[in-house]
Amino acid sequence: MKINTRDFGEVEINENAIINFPNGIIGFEDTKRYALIDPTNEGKYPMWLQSVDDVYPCFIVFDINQISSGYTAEINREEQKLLEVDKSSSISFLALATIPDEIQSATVNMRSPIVVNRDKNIAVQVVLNNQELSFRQPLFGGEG
Amino acid sequence: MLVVTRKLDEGLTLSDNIEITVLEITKDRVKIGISAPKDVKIIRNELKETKALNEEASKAISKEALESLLGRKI
Repeated sequence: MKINTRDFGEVEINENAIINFPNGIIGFEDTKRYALIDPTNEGKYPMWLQSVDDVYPCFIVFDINQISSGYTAEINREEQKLLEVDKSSSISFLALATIPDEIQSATVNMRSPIVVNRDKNIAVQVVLNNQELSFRQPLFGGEG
Repeated sequence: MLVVTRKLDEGLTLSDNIEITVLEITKDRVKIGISAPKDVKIIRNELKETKALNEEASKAISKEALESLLGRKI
């Protein structure tokens, strides 16, 4: 199906790849269906988490495992139930990026990742208790 | 910010109808009880921060930023 995107005009997406957010994204609770758009078709992040039903909202996301090592997240029972995960589920963690005009100052939110159950295309944004994880981690190195 | 020291089981009342009580204190956390009318919205600060950050992250980015993110002209 074709959808209208914020940054790339009309884009063809695979209907089977639509990701369902039963609770929406925090602050955007009414939007439940997103597509993960890979504008370069190279399988590389960032990708665009684009609402399927409207041009907005749209977020730029990074796969946390590609930008950080040893990331762990504790997901509570309620969130696990929403995600329909079990021991064998394939899980991705996506971090929402904030991209200012000065791109070197871009940050990613490691504290409130989007957890995606890849097998079922269900996702939930969780807010982790781990205070060592930053809400605004610099995307490009730590030198500032 | 007003800073008040309270002991276990002690509390505070805000605007006559919001009561806050210290229920439990352990090494690194405090359990707080809040009695408030239904229309008083209570959210954890992390959630508030996440919401504000999500709002910021959803803002459209400049063409230049988009181009450098993609590493090529589009």
